[in-house]
Amino acid sequence: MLRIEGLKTYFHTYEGTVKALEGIHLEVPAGETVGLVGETGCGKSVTALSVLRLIPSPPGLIEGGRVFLDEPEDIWTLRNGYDALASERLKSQGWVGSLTSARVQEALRPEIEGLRARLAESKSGEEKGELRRRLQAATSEFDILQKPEDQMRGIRGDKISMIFQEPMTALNPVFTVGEQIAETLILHRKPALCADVLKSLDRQIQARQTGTKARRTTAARALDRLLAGREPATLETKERERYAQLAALKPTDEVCTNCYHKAPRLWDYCLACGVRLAFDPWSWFRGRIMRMERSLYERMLRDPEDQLVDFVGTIWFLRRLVRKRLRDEGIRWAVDMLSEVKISDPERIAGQYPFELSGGMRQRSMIAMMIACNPKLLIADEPTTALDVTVEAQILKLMKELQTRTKMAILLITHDLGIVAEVCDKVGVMYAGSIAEFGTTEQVFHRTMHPYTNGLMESIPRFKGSASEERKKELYIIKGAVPNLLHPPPGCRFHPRCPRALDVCKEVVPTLTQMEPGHLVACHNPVPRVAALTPEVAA
Amino acid sequence: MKLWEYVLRRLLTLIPVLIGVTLITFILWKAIPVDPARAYMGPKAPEEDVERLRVAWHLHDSLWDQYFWYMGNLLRGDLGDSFVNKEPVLSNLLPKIPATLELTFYAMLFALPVGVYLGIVSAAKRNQWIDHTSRFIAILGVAVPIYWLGVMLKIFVHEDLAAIGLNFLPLDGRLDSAPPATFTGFYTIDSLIAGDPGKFIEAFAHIALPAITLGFAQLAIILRMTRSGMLEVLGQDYVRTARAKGVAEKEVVFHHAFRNATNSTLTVSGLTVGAALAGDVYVESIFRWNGIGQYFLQSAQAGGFTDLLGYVLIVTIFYVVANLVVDVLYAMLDPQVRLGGS
Amino acid sequence: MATEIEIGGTGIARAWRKFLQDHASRISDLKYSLFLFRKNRLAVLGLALLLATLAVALAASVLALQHPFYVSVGSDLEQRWNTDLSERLSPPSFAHPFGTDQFGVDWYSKVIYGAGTALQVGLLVVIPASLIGSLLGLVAGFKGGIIEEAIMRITDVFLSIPGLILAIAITGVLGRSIVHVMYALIITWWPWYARLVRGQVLSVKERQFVESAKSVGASPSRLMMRHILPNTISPVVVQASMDFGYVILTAAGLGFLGLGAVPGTAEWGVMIYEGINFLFTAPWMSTFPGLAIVLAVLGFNLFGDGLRDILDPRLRR
Repeated sequence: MLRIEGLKTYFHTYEGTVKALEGIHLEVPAGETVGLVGETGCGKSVTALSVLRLIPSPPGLIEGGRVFLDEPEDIWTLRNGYDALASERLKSQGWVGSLTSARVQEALRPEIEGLRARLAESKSGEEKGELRRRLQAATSEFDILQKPEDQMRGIRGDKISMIFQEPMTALNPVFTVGEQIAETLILHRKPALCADVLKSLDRQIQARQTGTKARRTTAARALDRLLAGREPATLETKERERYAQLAALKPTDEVCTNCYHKAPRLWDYCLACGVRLAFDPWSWFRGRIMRMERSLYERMLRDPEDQLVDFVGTIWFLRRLVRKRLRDEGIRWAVDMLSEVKISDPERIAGQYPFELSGGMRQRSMIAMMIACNPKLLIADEPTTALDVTVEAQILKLMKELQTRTKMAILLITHDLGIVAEVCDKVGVMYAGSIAEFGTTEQVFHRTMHPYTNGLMESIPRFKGSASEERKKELYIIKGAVPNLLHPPPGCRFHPRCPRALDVCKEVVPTLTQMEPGHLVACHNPVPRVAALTPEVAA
Repeated sequence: MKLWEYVLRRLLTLIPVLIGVTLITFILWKAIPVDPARAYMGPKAPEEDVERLRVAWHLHDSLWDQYFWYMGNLLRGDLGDSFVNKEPVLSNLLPKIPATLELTFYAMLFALPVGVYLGIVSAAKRNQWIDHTSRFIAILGVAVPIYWLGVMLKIFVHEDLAAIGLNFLPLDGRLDSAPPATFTGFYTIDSLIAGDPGKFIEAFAHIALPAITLGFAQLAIILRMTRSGMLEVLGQDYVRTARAKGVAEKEVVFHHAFRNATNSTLTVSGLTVGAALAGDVYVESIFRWNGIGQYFLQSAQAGGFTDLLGYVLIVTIFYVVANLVVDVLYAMLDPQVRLGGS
Repeated sequence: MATEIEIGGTGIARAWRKFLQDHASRISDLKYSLFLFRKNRLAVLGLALLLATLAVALAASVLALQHPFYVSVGSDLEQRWNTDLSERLSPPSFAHPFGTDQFGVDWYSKVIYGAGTALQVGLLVVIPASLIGSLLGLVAGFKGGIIEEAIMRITDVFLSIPGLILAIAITGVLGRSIVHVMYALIITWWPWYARLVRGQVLSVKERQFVESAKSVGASPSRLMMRHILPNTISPVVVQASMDFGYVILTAAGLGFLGLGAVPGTAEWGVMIYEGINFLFTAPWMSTFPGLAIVLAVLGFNLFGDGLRDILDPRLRR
C-alpha cells in the first residue's frame, strides 16, 4: 500500500540545516496497522507530513527518496531490477545518496526511451501491457513525491488521509462539524453528490407541483394526531407502519407532518417526501429557481469543471445556486459518516461547532471527516495523546473496526508503546531521523534487536510485586539525550548513548538489514537474542 | 445568549461612558479661561445684559447645579447657541453632516476592500514582492500626515498632471455648479436620483482627491491589521487540516483562514471610524469641503466654545455607536461569542 | 552544563571575564537580540532615521544657515527670524537648499530648527503620558476591585472620544499655544498606557509561573518587582517609542490647523500651514517640512516595530 524508500527531509533554518529525516524506509501493507514509535523530536510527524507533502516549504524541503502509493506487486518486482541498475550507474558516476525519481529516470534514460519507442511500434495488446508495466517500473510511476501538486491535492483526503493530535485546534472553529465533513466529500466525490442532489431535487420539484404543504412537529404530537384517540391496535396497516416509525423516535424529535419521517433542523426540506419545511422567502420564484438549479447540477454531473457552473460560482449572490444543495447533500452524507464513527444523534452533532463538543467527539468527527472518502491509507499522528484513557480505547477500537471493514491501511504514529502492543500488526522504531528497527509487534517486542529499542523496553516501568527485590532497583533510563539534528553525530546517530557501541558505529551509518523474515534492524552490533542467522541486506 | 440580549447588554454599558463624556465636555466648559457670557456678547455689550446672560446660564450656581442644568439641556437636544453666529449649535451642525458622511463613505469604500485584499494576499505570499509593497504602503500610511498628503496631492494634480494634460480632478469644494435636489444629502447619489449623470461625474470627481487622502491612512491600518490577523491564523492547525483534506490553496486562504481572521479586521474597522472622524478635519480644511469637520475647525479657531463642545458630543456618540455596531458584527460572525463557548 | 574554563589574567580583566561568564546566557540572549535587530533591516533604518533626527536637532546651531532670535511678548518667549524681502519666495538653490518663504527666511534652517521643536514636544508629551498612564494601569491591574473599575471606566470615557477631536477641543478652549497643545496631547494619550499596562498586569497575573512563584512563598511586592514589572515594561517601551512619532505627527497637525505654534515659528506643522497660501507659487514651503515629518515618524515607527519584534518571545527562533 504505502512504501517509503529513502525519504530525506531537511529544514534550512537560520541556525543551519536540520536534518530531520535521513533516509526512512517503511512499508504499510493494506489492511494492516503499522505503528511508528519514537521519542519527541525523532521525526515521526515529519515523516507523515512528508508523505502528504505538507512540509512548509520555505524552511523545509524533501531532499530525496520516493514514496510509492498502491504499487502493484508485479511492478514492484520489475522496479527492483531497474532500481538496482540505476543505482549502479549512479554510483559509478560518483553519486552518493538516496534515489529520487528524477535521478532514476535520468540514469535509466536509454531504457525508458527504448521502452517508449517499442510501445509506440507495438501491435499486440499483450505486448503493450507488458511494455507499459515495465515503463511504469522504470519511471517510478507510483511515486507520489514526483506528482504535480494538483494530483497531490486529489490524493490528500481521498487516497491518503491524516488525522492529527489536537482535535480542538485541528478543526476550524467557525464552521460546523457537518460542513467540514461535507467539504471533504464535495472536494472528492462531486459526481456522486450531484447525482444525489438531482434525486432529491426531483423529489422536491414533484412535491412542489402537487402542492403538498407540511410543517415540522414533534414526534409526540404527530403520534397523537395519528392515533386521534384510538388504540394502536385498531390502526390500519398503512397507519401501522407510520406508527411503528414514530414510536421508534424520541418524543422530542422533530418530524414532517406529511410523511412522519424524521426532519432535523439541518435541512429545509423533508428527506423522504421532499416537501419544504422551512419558511421560504423566495417561494414565488422557487419553481423557476429549482429548474435552474436542476440544469446546473446536471451540467456539473456531466463535467465537474463545467464553465457555466464555475462562472455562476464566482458571482457572489448567485453562488448559492451551485453550492447550497451540494452542501446540504454533503451534510446528509456527513451525518451517515458520523453514525459510522459511533456518534449518537448525528444530526444534532452535525450542526454543532467544534467548541461545543467534547474531546472524544471532536476526534471522532475528525476521523469521520478523513475517512469520508474511504482512503486507502490513514495516517494517525498521535490521535489519542490528548484524550482520556477510556476515550482513547474507544477511538482505537473504532479505528480497528473501520480497518476491518474497509481494508484501509493505518500508519499509527505514537510514543506510547502500550498502544502499539495492543493495536499494531507491525511496528517501526524511529530514532533521530531514521528507522532503527522494523518488524511485527511480536518480533520487535519479544526479540528486540536494536539497543535503542531495547532501552525503550527496559525503561517501561513495570509492576513487579510489592515484596519483590526488583522493585527496589532504580528505574532504567537510556543515558544521554536526543541529539541535536543540526549537527547529528557521525555514523550511527545513536552511538553516543549506546551501551553496545563499537568503533565502526562512530563512522559508518548502519543500513537496515533483515535478521529474520520481516524483521529488520539498522545496527552494527545488535542485541544477540537470536541465534546466528545469515543477514540478508534489505532491498 | 441570543443576539439581541448581547446588543442590549452592550447598549447598557454605553450609558455610563456617555455620561462620562458629558462630564468631560462640562469640565472643558468650565475650563474656558475667559468669561463665557462676556465672550458671547462681545466687549461692547452693556454689563447688565451680560449679567442677565450669566444668570440664564447658571454661571453663579454651584457646580453640581450647573452640571444638572447642562445635562438637562443635553437630554432635550439643546447643545447651546453658537458663539460665532448665535444660532443653535445643533441646527448649525445638522445640515453639514451629509457632506462629511459622503466623504467618509467614499474614503472607506476605497480603503476597506483594497486594504483587506492586500492584507490577505501579503500574509499568504509572505516575503514576495506583493508582501514588500504592501508593508511599504502600510508603513507609509502611518508616517505620512494626512494633511501633508492632501497638500501634496493638490500640488501633484495641479502641477504635474496639468503638465501632461490630465488635470481633470478638481481641487476644492464639492461642486462647481449648483447642488442637485436634496434626497440623501450625498451629492453623488442625489444627482443619480435626479437623473443628472453629468452632475454625478462632477460630484464624483470632486470627491476623488479628498476620499483618497482620507482613505490612505485607513487603508494602511486595515492592511496592517488584516495581515497580522491572517499571519496568526495561517499558522494554526486547522489550516494544515484543510490542506490535508486536499483544499486548494486559494480556498484555504480566502475561505478557511480569512473567516477566522475577520475579527482583527473588524476590530480595526471600529478604530478606523475614529481615525476617519479625526482625519476628516484635516481633509475638509484642505479641500474646502463644507462638512462638520470644517465647522469644527473654524469654531476652534474663532472661539466658538459651544460649537466645539457640541461637536465633541455628537462625534463621540457616533463613534461609540459605530463601535457597538462592530461588536454586534463580531458576535454575528463568531459563533463562539454568540453561543457562549467554553 | 558548566564548562570549566580557566579564568586567567588579573584584576579588572579577570573580573570582566567572570562577569561575562556569570551572565553568559543573558549575554547570548542580548547578542541574539542584536542579531535579530540587525537582520531586521527596516528596524535598523528606523534607528538611523531616529538618530539622524536627534542629531539634526542637537546640531541645529551648526547645520542651519540662519538662526532665530527670541523676543519676549507678554509672558511668553516668541521665536523670530530675520527677514530678507529681496529673497522672498525663491525656489530651492545652493544658497537656500529648501527655498525661502514669503519673508525671505531660509526654509532649510527653519526645517532644521523644527526638528528640535518636534523632539521637545514629543519628549514632553510621551514621558508624562506614559508615566501617568502606566502608573494608573499598574494600580488598576494590581489592586483590582472598585479602584480598577473606576480607573478603567475613566479610561473608557477618554478613549471613546476620537483623539484628535479631544485635542482640538482642548486647544480651542484654552487658546492657541504650543504649551496648550502639549497639555492636550498628554490628556489624549495617557489612557492608552493605562489600558495597555493593566492588560499586561492581568495577563501576567494569570500566568502559571506567577502561581508557582506564589506557591514558593513570594511576597506581593517581590512578585511585582521580579515578575510582573519586567513583563509589562517591554510593551510600554515599544508603545512609547512608536508614540513618539505619532505625537510629533499630531502636534504638527494641530500646528497645521492653526491651533499650536504661532506662525513664523520653526514648527513643521505651522510651516506647512503657511505654505498653503503659496501652494502653487512656492510648493517647496509645504513640501519640505512634511518630508521631515515623514522621516521622523518613520524612524520612530520602524524602530518601535523592530523593538517589538525582538521582544516578542514567540517570534524569536
